[in-house]
Amino acid sequence: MATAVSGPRTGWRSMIPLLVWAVVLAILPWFLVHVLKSNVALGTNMVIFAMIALGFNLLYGHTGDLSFGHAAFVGFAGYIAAYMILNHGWTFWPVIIVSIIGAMLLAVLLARVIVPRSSGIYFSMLMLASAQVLNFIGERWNSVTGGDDGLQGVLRPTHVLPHSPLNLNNEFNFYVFCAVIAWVLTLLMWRIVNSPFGAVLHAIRENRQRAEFLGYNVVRYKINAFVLSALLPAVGGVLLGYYIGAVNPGEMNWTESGNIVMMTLLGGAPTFWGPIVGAFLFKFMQQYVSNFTQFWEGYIGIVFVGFVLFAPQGIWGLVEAGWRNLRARRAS
Amino acid sequence: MSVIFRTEGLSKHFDSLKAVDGVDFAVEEGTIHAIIGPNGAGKTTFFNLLTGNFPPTSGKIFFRDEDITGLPPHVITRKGIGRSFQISNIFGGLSVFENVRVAVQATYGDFPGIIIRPKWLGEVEEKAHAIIERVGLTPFAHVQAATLSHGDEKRLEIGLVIAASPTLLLFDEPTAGMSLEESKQTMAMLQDLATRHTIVLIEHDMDLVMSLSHTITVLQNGRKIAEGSPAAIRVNPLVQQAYLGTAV
Amino acid sequence: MIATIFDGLTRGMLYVLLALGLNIILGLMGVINFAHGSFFALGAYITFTLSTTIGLFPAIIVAALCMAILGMIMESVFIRRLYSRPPEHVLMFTFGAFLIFVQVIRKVWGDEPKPLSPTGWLAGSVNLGFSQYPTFRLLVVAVTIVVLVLVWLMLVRTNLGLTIRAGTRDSEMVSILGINMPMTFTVVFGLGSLLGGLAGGLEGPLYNIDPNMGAIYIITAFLVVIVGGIGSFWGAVVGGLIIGLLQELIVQLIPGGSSAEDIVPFAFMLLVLLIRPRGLFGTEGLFD
Repeated sequence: MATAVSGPRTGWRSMIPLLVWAVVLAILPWFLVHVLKSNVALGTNMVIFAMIALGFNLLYGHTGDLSFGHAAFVGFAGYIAAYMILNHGWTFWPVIIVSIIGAMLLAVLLARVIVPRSSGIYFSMLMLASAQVLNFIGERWNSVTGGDDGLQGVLRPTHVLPHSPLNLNNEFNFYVFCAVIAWVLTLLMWRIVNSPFGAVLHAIRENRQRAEFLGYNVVRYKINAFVLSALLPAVGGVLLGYYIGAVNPGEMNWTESGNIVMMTLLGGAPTFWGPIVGAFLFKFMQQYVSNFTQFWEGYIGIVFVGFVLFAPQGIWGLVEAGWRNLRARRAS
Repeated sequence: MSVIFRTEGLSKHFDSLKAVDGVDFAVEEGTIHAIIGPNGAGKTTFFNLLTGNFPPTSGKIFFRDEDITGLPPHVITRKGIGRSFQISNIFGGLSVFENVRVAVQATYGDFPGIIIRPKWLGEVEEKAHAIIERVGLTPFAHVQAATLSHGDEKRLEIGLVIAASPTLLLFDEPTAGMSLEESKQTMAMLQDLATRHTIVLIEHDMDLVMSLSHTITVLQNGRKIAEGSPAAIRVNPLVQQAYLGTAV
Repeated sequence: MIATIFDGLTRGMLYVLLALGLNIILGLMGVINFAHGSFFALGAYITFTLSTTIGLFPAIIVAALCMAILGMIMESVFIRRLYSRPPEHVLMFTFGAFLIFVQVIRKVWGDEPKPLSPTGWLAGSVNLGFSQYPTFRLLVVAVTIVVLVLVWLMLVRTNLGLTIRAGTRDSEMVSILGINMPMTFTVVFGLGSLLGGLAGGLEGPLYNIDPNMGAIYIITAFLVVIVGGIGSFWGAVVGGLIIGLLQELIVQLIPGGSSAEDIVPFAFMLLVLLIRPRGLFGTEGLFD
């Protein structure tokens, strides 16, 4: 697998990809509306899932643990948010903080139980089973979760900034709101991945035993990576709740977790930006292919299987490899 | 010289197989101590016990009079014991530099600088470069480790092992699969390392063992059958018998 | 009450077949086949389509054989390429295959559940002394027992069985002994898929046939594998029967129990794992 990060690590030049990302976010609405004849709301959806996939990939692409249950954090945070909004009328900032804390506590619980006792595909399946349990609870605890219908009537936040009431019912405004959050969280991920902590995660991914024999407590590092990987999905879950106006137990279904895995692999798990590329592509395909056929999930499945077989480094992995080849040829 | 590392009655049984059986072992500080024996003698299992891969069935292990029996590998490593493996155990997808840097970093504490960069980053990188220099891999510093030749891989692993400045180094067949030239280079490196570390090594290359080590321990079927200086081991009838005619 | 127990055993037999198929593949090859759920579903659907022409019982047999062939094709053409990759890639592939199969089923057979009832001699009931019991359910029990006996004999009396029991860890050793591992893998995958398809064929007339059935049953099958122990024959048998029984008992005897039906396997698995982390009969844990 190629190194997860390429390019200079320090100095202002290393910030270039992040600036490009900001530009992409700025242009996206225009691109969607005028070039693809779509709407801004699709962009919001893309950006939210880009966040979710990016967070998930801290655990998969950077540490090497494939979780088939990460939608649990998306849904759990969404439910906490919806519950607080509908039953206690909370505003945005308390909601997001409590939801994040709640999701990360869930992550601590799951990590401490599952990580020391399993690895590889068994870890993947235990995460799947855990998410299913939450799904069931969501479907049956009617009084709290609203059962199969979930919780509905979540209104967009109105008091996000202290002095100016933002109308987030305007799709464009809400997009900007989500895009800004996404950019800031991308910066956070960037710092984490490029930190000494991130370097240890990469080492663990490459060779767990060697990392252990250098003196690293691998289980503790994995647990920490796991908990951190729940942060962005949690934020995504809250924003998703605002976006749709509701939460439902199906969000925590294992097939939703499977979607997160798919978009990450398609985009490129061994790279930093891959999950974002994958999420954009996946959400776009979801919208477009479903206009042509009701079997669009099958076609996405075919594309996914194709990548697993022939290009597991994903689209962005191919791009980065091509970029490296070009540089090598120019140097020689 | 004092004993820096020893085992008392160390045993490891896998069901009815006694892979290691009641071995008493002691290493003097600052020496090179070789462990030899025919295939299946239990040498690598013995090493695995020493580094905490699994707990022994019975017996104890002491490092500087501290009982380290049953401790997990990462704790044992932190106490100052480094180990290399028969099949090169490195970080294939990372560059040589990244390999060594993460090894040096291990001595700088847990969960460092997730958001704010710690001040010691520059120091870690300098030390990493110094080690890369010492093992002769400077021209390969930014090459992906998986693409290294076999000999260079082994040298990288040695670099990883010494990065934390351990007191005791355990090498499992450091010259396996090497050409004559590479073996000589490795031998020179081991002699250089012996000036600063205590070394225990498993080896099949008898020339190297005889010329390099101060003490040799011979294992057969999990038991220690002989121990002494190279000269003594060379003429030991039990050892000659164990190897069944192989020139010792 | 006794009827409930029999119902539980019948349901349990389905789980046993499904989990055993998964377990044989997992124990030898270290592969968790998500598409096993699809083979289960396709077994039911093919049985549904063929039963009107060749009769229910022959249809079930044919469906199971079709799944064996499909499984062998999938393994030899696709999964074989992924053995040198990290095991997560195989898992992701089988997940993708599963998604594709669900849509194929929807496209070919539609979204509506398919009704399938036993006909002819299978439709009646047998007087068991204490009550009348549906013939078909007894057939399920009988077929499963016969199949289990055959599988058991294969495991203990044949070289193939020896290889399977040696497990993944020794597959290198075994290939050194001259056994053709690639072909063994393919055959084993076919055998596991056959069991999955058979389970599906038997399930159809008992419960329901719809495009989502694979998703629901595959998770229960995996839980049975964990409860019984990875790679364990008796683990699949005992685990499957116990979970089937527990579910029926809770659904039929406890008011409101049907809402807890899905949680039962999870709860039981947690209980077992706390007491015996390797499962009831397991020899290797969930660790690498």
